[in-house]
Amino acid sequence: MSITERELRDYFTGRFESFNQGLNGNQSLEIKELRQKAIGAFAKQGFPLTKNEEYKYTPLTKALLKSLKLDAPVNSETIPTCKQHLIPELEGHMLVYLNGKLAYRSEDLPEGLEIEQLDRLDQTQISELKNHLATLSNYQSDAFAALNTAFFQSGSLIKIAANITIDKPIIIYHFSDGQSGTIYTQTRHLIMVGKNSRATLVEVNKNLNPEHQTFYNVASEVFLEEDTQLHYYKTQTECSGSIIVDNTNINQKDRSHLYCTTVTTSGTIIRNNLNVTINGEYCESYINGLYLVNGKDHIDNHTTVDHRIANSYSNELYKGIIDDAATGVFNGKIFVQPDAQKTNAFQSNKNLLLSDKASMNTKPQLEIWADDVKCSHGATTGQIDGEQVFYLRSRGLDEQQAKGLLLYAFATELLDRISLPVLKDYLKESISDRLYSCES
Amino acid sequence: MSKDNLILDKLTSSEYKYGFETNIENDSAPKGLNEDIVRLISSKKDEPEWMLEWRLKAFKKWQSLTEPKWPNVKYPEIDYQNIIYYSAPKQQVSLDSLDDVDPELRRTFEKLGISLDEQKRLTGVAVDAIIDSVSVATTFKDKLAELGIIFCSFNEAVHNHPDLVRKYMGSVVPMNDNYFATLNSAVFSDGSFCYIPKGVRCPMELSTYFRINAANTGQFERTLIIAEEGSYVSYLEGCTAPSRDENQLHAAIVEIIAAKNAEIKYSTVQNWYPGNKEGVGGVYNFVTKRGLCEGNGSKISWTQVETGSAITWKYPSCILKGDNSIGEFYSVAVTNNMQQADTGSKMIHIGKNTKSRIVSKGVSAGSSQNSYRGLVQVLPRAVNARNFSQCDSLLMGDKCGAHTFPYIETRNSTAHIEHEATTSKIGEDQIFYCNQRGIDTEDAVALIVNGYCKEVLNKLPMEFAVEAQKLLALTLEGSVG
Repeated sequence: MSITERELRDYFTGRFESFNQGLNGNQSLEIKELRQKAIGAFAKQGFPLTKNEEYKYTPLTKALLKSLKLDAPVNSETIPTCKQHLIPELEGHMLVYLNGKLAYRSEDLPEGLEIEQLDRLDQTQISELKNHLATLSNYQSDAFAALNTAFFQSGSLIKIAANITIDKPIIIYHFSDGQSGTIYTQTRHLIMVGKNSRATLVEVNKNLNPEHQTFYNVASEVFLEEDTQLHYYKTQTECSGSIIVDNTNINQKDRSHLYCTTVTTSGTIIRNNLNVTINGEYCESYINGLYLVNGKDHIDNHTTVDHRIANSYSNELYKGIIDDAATGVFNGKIFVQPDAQKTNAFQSNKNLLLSDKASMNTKPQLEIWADDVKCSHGATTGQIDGEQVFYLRSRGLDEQQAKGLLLYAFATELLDRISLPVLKDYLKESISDRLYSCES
Repeated sequence: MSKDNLILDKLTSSEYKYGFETNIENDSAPKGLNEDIVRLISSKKDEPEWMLEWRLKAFKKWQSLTEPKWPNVKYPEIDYQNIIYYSAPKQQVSLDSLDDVDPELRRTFEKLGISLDEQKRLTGVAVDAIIDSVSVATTFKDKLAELGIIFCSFNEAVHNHPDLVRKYMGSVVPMNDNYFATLNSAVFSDGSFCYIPKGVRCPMELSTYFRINAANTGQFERTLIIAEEGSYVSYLEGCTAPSRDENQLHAAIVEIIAAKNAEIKYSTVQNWYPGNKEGVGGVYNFVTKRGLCEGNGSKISWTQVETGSAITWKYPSCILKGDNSIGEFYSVAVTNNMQQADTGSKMIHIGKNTKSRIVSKGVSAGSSQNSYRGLVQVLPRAVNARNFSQCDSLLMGDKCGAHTFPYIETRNSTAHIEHEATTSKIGEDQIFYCNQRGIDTEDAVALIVNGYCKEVLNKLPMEFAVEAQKLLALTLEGSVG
């Protein structure tokens, strides 16, 4: 039996008091206040319905109402062999979350890298984070960010000191297995990269038990100080049965470089909110995304690049292949504020539709208040070019091979931008089988 | 840079040329809107019962609606009870020839550069002049009638061709379409009606000239154009209003229907009073324009040059229902000072092999805000649909804004959709190039802006293209960027 939005909202708001008290002693006053504010913001907004412009094409709330069983026990008993689900040969400093609880973490971290559990920080540590924690989060305007801020139970604080290069990637695995029913988890990360430092961050989302619906609501805040460089990869490759909302907010200071790539290949509904605020001069942001969806999956990428200071550069490329009755949504906003003169901002969204039931909704959006800028966006939706298929067939490939090759070429343009060879190869391999077997 | 700004300032500070007011006696309804006013308008027009019922139904619906807040424009709340919904120049009931027209009125049109006499004799453009939303003169009626073309005021059509009006009115823009369309359906005072019979190619441009004259009035006119199978018509629309400190509301509806293989070209040069430099006064231009390509192979083309109005809110749209039908939208929207524009187009692909093209050029200067908002929708049945959209914005000065909100919804895998948008200012290198060749900066800007808009201006009929170019130069005079 499905429930109404009101009931779901009341369920969360009603649960808040006891939840917050249950955490007593374990949390500082600041966090308590923050949660209080967030639940207020959430209660006011409620879950977004499709009337909400930001969720116009993504019936997220409807899916939650249909699948969330509120009284299902949260499963935490089984510590499965997470190991077999790690990305093979990808070495790094690992954090493994199972159903939102920390299951494993790498010991012996290199000098300059500090990883703490966000929910275990003491009063002094929290006070130090005053200027960072929840300052980027859009919990006043987004219900899911608010929900996460109010309820987050686990998560990490990743702190990189100044003038350090962390050679190995930091890898965060989010596993869920819905063995005992529906799971909803709220995880939160705070990532701070100190001046003149470099790091690579990989976030991997997997649903180990696709028969069970899970709802994963994760929020991350990333601070890039001056002269930093961050490679940030998010993969959502085995997420069948998952409803994922990912809110990532990134703040860039002078001369920082961001390379962010999101790869999605399955998920009941996946909503990625990636918000980059450029708060410094001479910043560079490269934001890429690839989504390959089939079945009835639904992928929604919302990105915002907010240029607040002059002389920065941003370049965004999202590509998608939509098959079967799947749906793709892309909304890319570029804001150029009055002070952000000499901004160069580019955005491109390219889509291939392989089936008549597939649909794609694109809304690239430019909002510009400064005059000395170069900004452009482009969006295309189409299908495989018949002439290209003919060319390959005249060279002896059969139709499926020809199409597969063209799809693979379309998709790998993005994967080639990944600077971690192991991850790149892993992703290429995981999509190639699928693309070569696409029928259309 | 500073020189650029100087010229920009000069350009942006030019005055509105059509701001005069004509002293003609008006027959006005009292301020406010209620059922009695709707009945009054209907009785003034001597309308049949079905028309009154339609109005009352619309009025009832309107009371249940709320004003839309989603457009990217800001304005103080409109007091709908402080508007005069009906105002007409006091005139004898019908005019047999132009000589019967009030000389004051004719002088008005001469000032606007549309001498009705001269139009008639020289240029061969049939004009329907509408002042304060009442049609005052229609030229060339007889000559058109020989071909079976009906071109008259909406009110005349209601009386003389009720079957056509009843069949098509509200078929493209339903009575309950949106807040302003519903308001218009309740209180519209007049407008133009045009019917082109099967296989007829209209030998001349048909033109409507709209002018708001009386103070505190809203202008609510309705245009209905029907092109039967295989016919062609090119239709022009121009608008001006006196300079006033209050805002005036203009909520019009344009419905056009193209049958099999028919082609309709609709061009607008909109130059309502934009308000003064501080943003006081000006016309609120909230217009619903929609075309239905009903038959196979039909074509509807919208061309608009938007330079006036304090606030523009309009999205000329095409519903591409017939197979192989084509929709086009060419737009230049120039905003200056405190003007705000939220304009664009909707292309709904329903039939097979339908094509659409959107070219939108925005120019923002002063402290204005210029938004493009468009929708390209491909429905599952629209096999091989093709769309190309281009929306470019040019910024002059650092206080203005340019925004684009394109929505692209594709439900068919054979569709080819392309959208591109750019935003930039006039390049210093381009100006330098012109300077180097002896063209001063101001002329260079005019040249560059003209070149930038050429793609759209080229689509205008000749008489209009000249006017539009002049208008463009005038609106931007002194705004070199």
